[in-house]
Amino acid sequence: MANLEGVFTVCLAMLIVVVGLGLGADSTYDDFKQALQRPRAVCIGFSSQYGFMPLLSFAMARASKTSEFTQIGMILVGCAPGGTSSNLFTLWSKGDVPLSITMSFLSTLAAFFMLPLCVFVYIYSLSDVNVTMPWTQIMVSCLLIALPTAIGVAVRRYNTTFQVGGKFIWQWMHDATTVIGAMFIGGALIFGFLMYWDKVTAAPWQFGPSRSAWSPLAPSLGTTAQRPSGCRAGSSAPSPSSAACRTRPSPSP
Amino acid sequence: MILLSFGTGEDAEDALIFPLIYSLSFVVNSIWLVALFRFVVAPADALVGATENNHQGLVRAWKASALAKVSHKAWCAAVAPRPPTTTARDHACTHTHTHAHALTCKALL
Repeated sequence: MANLEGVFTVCLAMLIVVVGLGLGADSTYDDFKQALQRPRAVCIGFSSQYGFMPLLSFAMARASKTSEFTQIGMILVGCAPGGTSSNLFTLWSKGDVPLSITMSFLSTLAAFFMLPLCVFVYIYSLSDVNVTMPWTQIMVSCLLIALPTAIGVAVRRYNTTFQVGGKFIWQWMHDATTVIGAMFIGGALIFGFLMYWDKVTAAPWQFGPSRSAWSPLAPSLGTTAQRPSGCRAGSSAPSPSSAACRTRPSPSP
Repeated sequence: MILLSFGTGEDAEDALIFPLIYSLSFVVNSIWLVALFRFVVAPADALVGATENNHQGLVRAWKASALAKVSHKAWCAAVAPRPPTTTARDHACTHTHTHAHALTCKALL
């Protein structure tokens, strides 16, 4: 079991790097500049991340009437910043990948002060348990989002002539992200269900509504909240009110 | 965080169970949500965006044509009563209007 988990952790780290490279290769420097020029979109994303989500998780935890530590686990899920998988899902959804990466990076960076705040507000009001902050992991997460993405963007910027098999390197990186990402998601599901099937079946019934409702509810809230900022689900369809909503990258750099 | 805070005891087991189950259901739910966004929401938004763009284009075109008509009438009313030479009027039209407008102006004058 421990060996399998170790292998899984190494694969996860490799996936984050590969996906980060591919997502960076999918974007240009200007895309990130445009994403940052939309403070309203970033603010809405930030308030969704550290406003609605922790509050919803707290409400769901309180409503679940489960044990104290289970409720703490539920609240921590709601307080956790976004990660690479959300960027991958954004890419597959034809969403605004640079905005997603920017938000993931900023929310992870903000976790340095928002996570203690959320823990203080929601968890310490529930229990007197001592929650330790994973400062190193937060720093590593920031680097794992920023570094591969920056390398991917740089490859896209400078790889304007060299091709392999009729494609630029950054195009291969982009394709690899989709394939490896899909393989990983499938592998993670199989691995997760095989390893933890007994826990899944033995889970308290109170988890049902939370786990079923949360996933559709959170993106729906996020999408609805982003409407006023002028961005739509398909970034290929920029709203006239916000020219900053980027179009999908063209095949040429 | 949970492992850091509670070690690997029973408390950690209790705290970890929801994140574990939620992460699995997150992946399952994300698959159909990605499909929904990619194949339903994004095309619908693209359609709305295109309609809005077209609508704005139409409004701009209408305003431009309306302004052209008004400025044209005003210009011609100011110039036509006077008896300047055709060359002078042509000259004025060419330099004060856009090319297409100047052509229309010349045709009317």
